[in-house]
Amino acid sequence: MPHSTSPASDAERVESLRRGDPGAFEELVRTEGPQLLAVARRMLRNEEDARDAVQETFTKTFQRIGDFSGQSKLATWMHRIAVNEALMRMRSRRRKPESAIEDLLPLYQENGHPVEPAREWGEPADRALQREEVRDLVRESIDRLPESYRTVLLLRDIEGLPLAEISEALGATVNATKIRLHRARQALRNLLDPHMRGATA
Amino acid sequence: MNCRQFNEFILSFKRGELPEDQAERFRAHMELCPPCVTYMEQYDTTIELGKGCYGEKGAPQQMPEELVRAILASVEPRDRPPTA
Repeated sequence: MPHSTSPASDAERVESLRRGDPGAFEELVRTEGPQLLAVARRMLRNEEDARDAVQETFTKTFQRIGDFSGQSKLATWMHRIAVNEALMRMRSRRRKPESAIEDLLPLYQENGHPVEPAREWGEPADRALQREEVRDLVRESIDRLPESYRTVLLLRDIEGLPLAEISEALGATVNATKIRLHRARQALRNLLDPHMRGATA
Repeated sequence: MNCRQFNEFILSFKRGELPEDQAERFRAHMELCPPCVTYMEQYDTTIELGKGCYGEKGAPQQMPEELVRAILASVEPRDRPPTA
Protein backbone atom coordinates (compact mmCIF):
# COMPACT_ATOMS: atom_id res chain seq x y z
CA MET A 1 0.00 0.00 0.00
CA PRO A 2 1.18 3.52 -0.58
CA HIS A 3 2.88 5.18 2.30
CA SER A 4 1.68 8.54 3.43
CA THR A 5 2.95 11.86 2.29
CA SER A 6 1.57 15.12 3.49
CA PRO A 7 -0.65 17.04 1.06
CA ALA A 8 1.71 20.01 1.19
CA SER A 9 4.74 18.01 0.10
CA ASP A 10 2.59 16.34 -2.56
CA ALA A 11 1.59 19.71 -3.98
CA GLU A 12 5.22 20.80 -4.10
CA ARG A 13 6.28 17.60 -5.75
CA VAL A 14 3.55 17.76 -8.37
CA GLU A 15 4.41 21.35 -9.11
CA SER A 16 8.08 20.45 -9.60
CA LEU A 17 7.15 17.50 -11.81
CA ARG A 18 4.91 19.67 -13.94
CA ARG A 19 7.74 22.14 -14.35
CA GLY A 20 9.84 19.23 -15.66
CA ASP A 21 12.38 19.51 -12.85
CA PRO A 22 14.77 16.54 -13.43
CA GLY A 23 15.65 16.42 -9.72
CA ALA A 24 11.98 15.96 -8.89
CA PHE A 25 11.72 13.00 -11.29
CA GLU A 26 14.66 11.30 -9.68
CA GLU A 27 13.38 12.00 -6.18
CA LEU A 28 10.01 10.51 -7.12
CA VAL A 29 11.64 7.38 -8.51
CA ARG A 30 13.72 6.92 -5.37
CA THR A 31 10.94 7.57 -2.86
CA GLU A 32 7.98 5.86 -4.54
CA GLY A 33 9.88 3.25 -6.53
CA PRO A 34 10.46 0.73 -3.72
CA GLN A 35 6.76 0.56 -2.79
CA LEU A 36 5.70 0.22 -6.40
CA LEU A 37 8.29 -2.46 -7.03
CA ALA A 38 7.00 -4.37 -4.00
CA VAL A 39 3.45 -4.23 -5.40
CA ALA A 40 4.59 -5.41 -8.82
CA ARG A 41 6.69 -8.21 -7.36
CA ARG A 42 3.79 -9.46 -5.24
CA MET A 43 1.43 -9.50 -8.17
CA LEU A 44 3.70 -10.72 -10.94
CA ARG A 45 6.19 -12.98 -9.09
CA ASN A 46 8.69 -12.38 -11.85
CA GLU A 47 11.46 -9.85 -11.37
CA GLU A 48 11.77 -8.85 -15.00
CA ASP A 49 8.02 -8.33 -15.41
CA ALA A 50 7.89 -6.45 -12.10
CA ARG A 51 10.66 -4.04 -13.10
CA ASP A 52 9.06 -3.56 -16.47
CA ALA A 53 5.73 -2.71 -14.81
CA VAL A 54 7.42 -0.21 -12.50
CA GLN A 55 9.24 1.43 -15.37
CA GLU A 56 5.97 1.80 -17.28
CA THR A 57 4.29 3.15 -14.14
CA PHE A 58 6.82 5.98 -14.02
CA THR A 59 6.50 6.66 -17.73
CA LYS A 60 2.72 6.95 -17.36
CA THR A 61 3.09 9.05 -14.22
CA PHE A 62 5.33 11.51 -16.00
CA GLN A 63 3.06 11.59 -19.03
CA ARG A 64 -0.10 12.09 -17.02
CA ILE A 65 1.06 14.29 -14.17
CA GLY A 66 -0.79 17.15 -15.84
CA ASP A 67 -4.04 15.24 -15.28
CA PHE A 68 -3.36 14.54 -11.60
CA SER A 69 -6.19 16.27 -9.74
CA GLY A 70 -4.76 16.14 -6.24
CA GLN A 71 -7.93 14.53 -4.89
CA SER A 72 -5.90 11.53 -3.78
CA LYS A 73 -2.33 11.37 -2.62
CA LEU A 74 0.25 11.18 -5.35
CA ALA A 75 1.47 7.84 -3.93
CA THR A 76 -2.08 6.43 -4.05
CA TRP A 77 -2.54 7.60 -7.62
CA MET A 78 0.74 5.96 -8.64
CA HIS A 79 -0.15 2.80 -6.72
CA ARG A 80 -3.29 2.48 -8.88
CA ILE A 81 -1.23 2.93 -12.05
CA ALA A 82 1.18 0.23 -10.88
CA VAL A 83 -1.65 -2.18 -10.05
CA ASN A 84 -3.13 -1.68 -13.51
CA GLU A 85 0.25 -2.16 -15.17
CA ALA A 86 0.71 -5.42 -13.25
CA LEU A 87 -2.81 -6.57 -14.13
CA MET A 88 -2.18 -5.89 -17.80
CA ARG A 89 0.95 -8.02 -17.70
CA MET A 90 -0.85 -10.79 -15.84
CA ARG A 91 -3.55 -10.83 -18.50
CA SER A 92 -1.16 -10.81 -21.40
CA ARG A 93 1.19 -13.50 -20.26
CA ARG A 94 0.37 -17.00 -21.31
CA ARG A 95 -1.34 -18.76 -18.48
CA LYS A 96 -1.77 -22.39 -17.74
CA PRO A 97 -5.36 -23.48 -17.17
CA GLU A 98 -6.26 -22.41 -13.68
CA SER A 99 -6.53 -25.05 -10.98
CA ALA A 100 -9.93 -25.44 -9.35
CA ILE A 101 -10.64 -23.68 -6.05
CA GLU A 102 -13.12 -26.36 -4.93
CA ASP A 103 -10.43 -28.62 -3.48
CA LEU A 104 -9.44 -25.81 -1.11
CA LEU A 105 -12.92 -24.94 0.17
CA PRO A 106 -14.54 -26.21 3.38
CA LEU A 107 -16.45 -29.48 3.07
CA TYR A 108 -19.93 -30.05 4.44
CA GLN A 109 -22.11 -33.03 5.14
CA GLU A 110 -25.55 -33.27 3.58
CA ASN A 111 -27.12 -31.74 6.68
CA GLY A 112 -24.94 -28.64 6.32
CA HIS A 113 -22.56 -29.47 9.16
CA PRO A 114 -18.85 -29.14 8.43
CA VAL A 115 -16.95 -32.36 7.85
CA GLU A 116 -14.24 -30.86 10.00
CA PRO A 117 -15.50 -28.28 12.53
CA ALA A 118 -13.03 -25.46 13.15
CA ARG A 119 -10.66 -25.99 16.04
CA GLU A 120 -8.85 -23.16 17.81
CA TRP A 121 -5.62 -21.81 16.38
CA GLY A 122 -2.70 -21.49 18.72
CA GLU A 123 -2.07 -17.77 18.58
CA PRO A 124 -3.38 -14.46 17.25
CA ALA A 125 -2.23 -13.01 13.94
CA ASP A 126 0.01 -10.29 15.36
CA ARG A 127 2.02 -12.74 17.40
CA ALA A 128 2.20 -15.36 14.62
CA LEU A 129 3.44 -12.72 12.17
CA GLN A 130 6.48 -12.05 14.30
CA ARG A 131 7.87 -15.37 13.11
CA GLU A 132 9.48 -15.49 9.70
CA GLU A 133 8.34 -19.05 9.05
CA VAL A 134 4.72 -17.97 9.49
CA ARG A 135 5.15 -15.05 7.09
CA ASP A 136 6.77 -17.45 4.60
CA LEU A 137 3.97 -19.96 5.06
CA VAL A 138 1.26 -17.34 4.44
CA ARG A 139 3.00 -16.02 1.32
CA GLU A 140 3.49 -19.54 -0.02
CA SER A 141 -0.15 -20.35 0.72
CA ILE A 142 -1.34 -17.22 -1.10
CA ASP A 143 0.79 -18.34 -4.04
CA ARG A 144 -1.01 -21.69 -4.05
CA LEU A 145 -4.37 -20.05 -4.72
CA PRO A 146 -5.65 -20.23 -8.29
CA GLU A 147 -4.46 -17.09 -10.06
CA SER A 148 -7.78 -15.26 -10.36
CA TYR A 149 -8.52 -15.82 -6.65
CA ARG A 150 -5.01 -14.86 -5.63
CA THR A 151 -5.35 -11.63 -7.62
CA VAL A 152 -8.57 -10.57 -5.90
CA LEU A 153 -7.18 -11.42 -2.46
CA LEU A 154 -3.99 -9.46 -3.13
CA LEU A 155 -5.86 -6.44 -4.44
CA ARG A 156 -8.35 -6.33 -1.56
CA ASP A 157 -6.47 -7.59 1.50
CA ILE A 158 -2.90 -6.57 0.72
CA GLU A 159 -3.16 -3.61 -1.66
CA GLY A 160 -6.32 -2.35 0.05
CA LEU A 161 -8.34 -1.49 -3.06
CA PRO A 162 -12.13 -1.18 -2.65
CA LEU A 163 -14.18 -4.03 -4.13
CA ALA A 164 -15.82 -1.72 -6.65
CA GLU A 165 -12.45 -0.65 -7.99
CA ILE A 166 -11.20 -4.24 -8.19
CA SER A 167 -14.35 -5.27 -10.05
CA GLU A 168 -13.84 -2.49 -12.54
CA ALA A 169 -10.17 -3.35 -13.08
CA LEU A 170 -11.03 -7.02 -13.61
CA GLY A 171 -14.12 -6.37 -15.71
CA ALA A 172 -16.33 -8.34 -13.30
CA THR A 173 -19.43 -7.46 -11.32
CA VAL A 174 -19.02 -6.41 -7.71
CA ASN A 175 -20.99 -9.47 -6.63
CA ALA A 176 -18.79 -11.88 -8.61
CA THR A 177 -15.69 -10.20 -7.18
CA LYS A 178 -17.09 -10.46 -3.66
CA ILE A 179 -17.74 -14.18 -4.08
CA ARG A 180 -14.24 -14.65 -5.46
CA LEU A 181 -12.75 -12.79 -2.50
CA HIS A 182 -14.72 -14.91 -0.05
CA ARG A 183 -13.61 -18.13 -1.78
CA ALA A 184 -10.00 -16.95 -1.76
CA ARG A 185 -10.12 -16.22 1.98
CA GLN A 186 -11.84 -19.54 2.70
CA ALA A 187 -9.18 -21.37 0.70
CA LEU A 188 -6.32 -19.50 2.36
CA ARG A 189 -7.81 -20.22 5.78
CA ASN A 190 -7.97 -23.93 4.91
CA LEU A 191 -4.38 -23.95 3.71
CA LEU A 192 -3.21 -22.28 6.92
CA ASP A 193 -5.40 -24.32 9.25
CA PRO A 194 -3.22 -27.41 9.82
CA HIS A 195 -0.18 -25.22 10.52
CA MET A 196 -1.93 -22.67 12.70
CA ARG A 197 -3.62 -25.37 14.77
CA GLY A 198 -0.22 -26.72 15.64
CA ALA A 199 1.16 -23.28 16.44
CA THR A 200 2.15 -22.64 20.00
CA ALA A 201 1.66 -19.31 21.65
CA MET B 1 -29.43 -21.40 9.11
CA ASN B 2 -26.96 -24.27 9.04
CA CYS B 3 -23.15 -24.11 9.17
CA ARG B 4 -22.74 -24.19 5.39
CA GLN B 5 -25.13 -21.27 4.93
CA PHE B 6 -23.48 -19.41 7.82
CA ASN B 7 -20.12 -19.80 6.13
CA GLU B 8 -21.48 -18.46 2.84
CA PHE B 9 -22.86 -15.37 4.55
CA ILE B 10 -19.73 -14.40 6.54
CA LEU B 11 -18.48 -11.74 4.14
CA SER B 12 -21.91 -10.21 3.53
CA PHE B 13 -22.52 -10.12 7.29
CA LYS B 14 -19.19 -8.45 7.94
CA ARG B 15 -19.93 -5.88 5.24
CA GLY B 16 -23.36 -5.20 6.76
CA GLU B 17 -25.06 -6.32 3.56
CA LEU B 18 -27.38 -9.01 4.92
CA PRO B 19 -31.07 -8.16 5.16
CA GLU B 20 -32.03 -7.80 8.83
CA ASP B 21 -33.91 -11.11 9.04
CA GLN B 22 -30.90 -13.01 7.66
CA ALA B 23 -28.53 -11.07 9.88
CA GLU B 24 -30.69 -12.05 12.83
CA ARG B 25 -30.49 -15.74 11.87
CA PHE B 26 -26.76 -15.35 11.37
CA ARG B 27 -26.36 -13.96 14.90
CA ALA B 28 -28.62 -16.71 16.26
CA HIS B 29 -26.38 -19.33 14.66
CA MET B 30 -23.36 -17.74 16.33
CA GLU B 31 -25.04 -18.17 19.70
CA LEU B 32 -25.56 -21.87 19.07
CA CYS B 33 -22.43 -22.93 17.22
CA PRO B 34 -19.00 -22.28 18.78
CA PRO B 35 -17.09 -23.93 15.86
CA CYS B 36 -18.63 -21.44 13.42
CA VAL B 37 -17.60 -18.58 15.70
CA THR B 38 -14.10 -20.05 15.75
CA TYR B 39 -14.20 -20.29 11.96
CA MET B 40 -15.22 -16.65 11.64
CA GLU B 41 -12.39 -15.60 13.96
CA GLN B 42 -9.98 -17.59 11.81
CA TYR B 43 -11.40 -15.93 8.70
CA ASP B 44 -10.46 -12.57 10.26
CA THR B 45 -7.08 -13.91 11.37
CA THR B 46 -6.48 -15.10 7.80
CA ILE B 47 -7.08 -11.57 6.52
CA GLU B 48 -4.66 -10.18 9.10
CA LEU B 49 -2.04 -12.79 8.23
CA GLY B 50 -2.38 -11.90 4.55
CA LYS B 51 -1.98 -8.22 5.29
CA GLY B 52 1.05 -8.76 7.47
CA CYS B 53 2.95 -11.49 5.63
CA TYR B 54 4.72 -9.20 3.17
CA GLY B 55 6.48 -7.32 5.94
CA GLU B 56 6.21 -3.84 7.28
CA LYS B 57 4.35 -1.56 4.93
CA GLY B 58 6.23 1.61 4.26
CA ALA B 59 9.48 0.13 5.49
CA PRO B 60 12.30 1.75 3.59
CA GLN B 61 13.51 -0.54 0.86
CA GLN B 62 16.21 0.12 -1.63
CA MET B 63 15.30 0.59 -5.23
CA PRO B 64 17.84 -1.30 -7.38
CA GLU B 65 20.16 1.35 -8.75
CA GLU B 66 20.12 -0.11 -12.26
CA LEU B 67 16.33 0.16 -12.27
CA VAL B 68 16.47 3.78 -11.15
CA ARG B 69 18.90 4.51 -13.97
CA ALA B 70 16.80 2.58 -16.49
CA ILE B 71 13.70 4.53 -15.52
CA LEU B 72 15.43 7.90 -15.67
CA ALA B 73 16.96 7.00 -19.02
CA SER B 74 13.70 5.66 -20.42
CA VAL B 75 11.75 8.79 -19.70
CA GLU B 76 12.51 10.75 -22.78
CA PRO B 77 12.04 14.49 -22.79
CA ARG B 78 8.94 13.97 -24.95
CA ASP B 79 7.36 11.99 -22.10
CA ARG B 80 7.94 14.77 -19.67
CA PRO B 81 5.54 17.57 -19.13
CA PRO B 82 6.47 20.73 -21.02
CA THR B 83 9.10 22.76 -19.25
CA ALA B 84 7.86 26.10 -18.06
